[in-house]
Amino acid sequence: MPAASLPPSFADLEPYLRWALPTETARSQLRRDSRMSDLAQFYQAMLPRLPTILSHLNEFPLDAMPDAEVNLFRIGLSFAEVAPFVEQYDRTVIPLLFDERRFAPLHDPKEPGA
Amino acid sequence: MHPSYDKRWIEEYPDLGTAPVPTEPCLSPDYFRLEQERLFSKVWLKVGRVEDIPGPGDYFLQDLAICRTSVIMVRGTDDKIRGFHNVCMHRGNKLVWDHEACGTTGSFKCRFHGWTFATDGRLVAVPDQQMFYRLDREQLGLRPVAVDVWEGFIFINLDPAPSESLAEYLGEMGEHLAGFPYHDFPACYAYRAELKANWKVCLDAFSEAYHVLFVHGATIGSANFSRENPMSHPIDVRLYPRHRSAVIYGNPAHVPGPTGKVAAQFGFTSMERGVGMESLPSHINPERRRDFNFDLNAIFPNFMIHVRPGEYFTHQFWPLSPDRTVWEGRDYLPRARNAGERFSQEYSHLMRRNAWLEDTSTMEATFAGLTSGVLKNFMLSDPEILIRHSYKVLEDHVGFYRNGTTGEADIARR
Repeated sequence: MPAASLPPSFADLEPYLRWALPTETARSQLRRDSRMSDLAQFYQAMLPRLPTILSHLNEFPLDAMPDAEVNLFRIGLSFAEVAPFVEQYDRTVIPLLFDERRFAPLHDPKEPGA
Repeated sequence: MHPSYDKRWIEEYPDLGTAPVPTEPCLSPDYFRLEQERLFSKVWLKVGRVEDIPGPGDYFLQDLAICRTSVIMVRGTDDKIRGFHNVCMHRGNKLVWDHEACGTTGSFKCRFHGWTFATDGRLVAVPDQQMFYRLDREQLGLRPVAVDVWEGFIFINLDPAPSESLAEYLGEMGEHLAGFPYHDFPACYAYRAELKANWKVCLDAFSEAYHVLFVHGATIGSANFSRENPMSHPIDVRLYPRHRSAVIYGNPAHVPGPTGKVAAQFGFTSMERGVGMESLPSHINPERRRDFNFDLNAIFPNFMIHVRPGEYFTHQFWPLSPDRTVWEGRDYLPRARNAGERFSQEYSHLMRRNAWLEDTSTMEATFAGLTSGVLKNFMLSDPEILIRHSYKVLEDHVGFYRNGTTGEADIARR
């Protein structure tokens, strides 16, 4: 389990370390469990940094990132989960009759940690 | 009037007619029974990709509830892919159970009495064999199913003697979809959901773009419609004897949102429009139209392959009962080479997931409405012609409305 830290140049994003989650199941669950104001704050903090974050992470092999970079990467994947709910829905869940927990992501690793 | 407002497709395919289409096939237990007897146990069904079982001993289990069986698909030490009914030849126990539905093994050992089968199906061990009478291991190998592979897709046929080869079954559709570089898209993002709906309600929902403005207005927004084509009419429709295709419109002037813009800088996203056409095989979007979004292809009866620049995605519908279906959606992308590409894939496939959630939300509600019995027929518009074709081909195989087959059906009710 990576230590709970981020690369030094991204230390300002440490309030969002709870988004450093290993699976889509966990990331979508936190999105659903959040308040819309929390999603909007996360989005506003991340969007301007996103190109810098991805450029930084591209300097490391995808399958062998240091722990701090793994955390930053997972926060980035959480941003991909959250962004449509800020940009398109302005809600924490898609306005549906359907409970999205019934969608099982078959690609999630069986043992979280990938 | 803009040309896209002509009712084009009935002119190209007049034999399909314009009459309303009965809802009864979505509701009738008798229709479902005939689908089992005359369709799902007789035709080629896609069960996986060769990449799902890349090495010797790799296997997965495919449930075929409508045919009351499950099938083990396994790659042998000789690299050949085989399929076997998941039934021990001793007392009938399942060899592979759901919690171990994929993996790698040297053999299949029944947990009831230890009978052991090689990955090529041979019965190789029977504990306490001397206590049996005239037991011939040669005759007690796992019961095989017909297997064939097309473009890396593994198909099976439960008919012990299929009436035609997979290539013959796919016909012109197989030729149309051949040559797309499926092997270049090994990163698979997949979802499964069990839906309280007849399988055809699910298939129909993915067979037209009429719903896009209403169901996906927020998600896909202006990417799939425009002032020129506000109702997302298909650019082309091709109906084959069994299978069917359409070219789905994309708005080439679509501008991605803030996150989509960054994702497109660092990798591929499904939200880009009007780019990458040169990467397609020459017969997909041959005119290299910039308003091409994707080529929708329905392989009869329960599989769809949609191809577009930079990815392909599939749907499959597995009937469990007249009112329950397992839907599986899969988005296939290239192997991500770095974090930026992986982020772009995440954004891209989550956009697709969100749209699929919107799609599936209609299916159970639609089916619940149908079960009321209020709606006897579907009114179908010209751009919904794929649905009309689907019910016609299905009926050709099932014969529910043919005189004298069910006793209760009456062709005049159509």
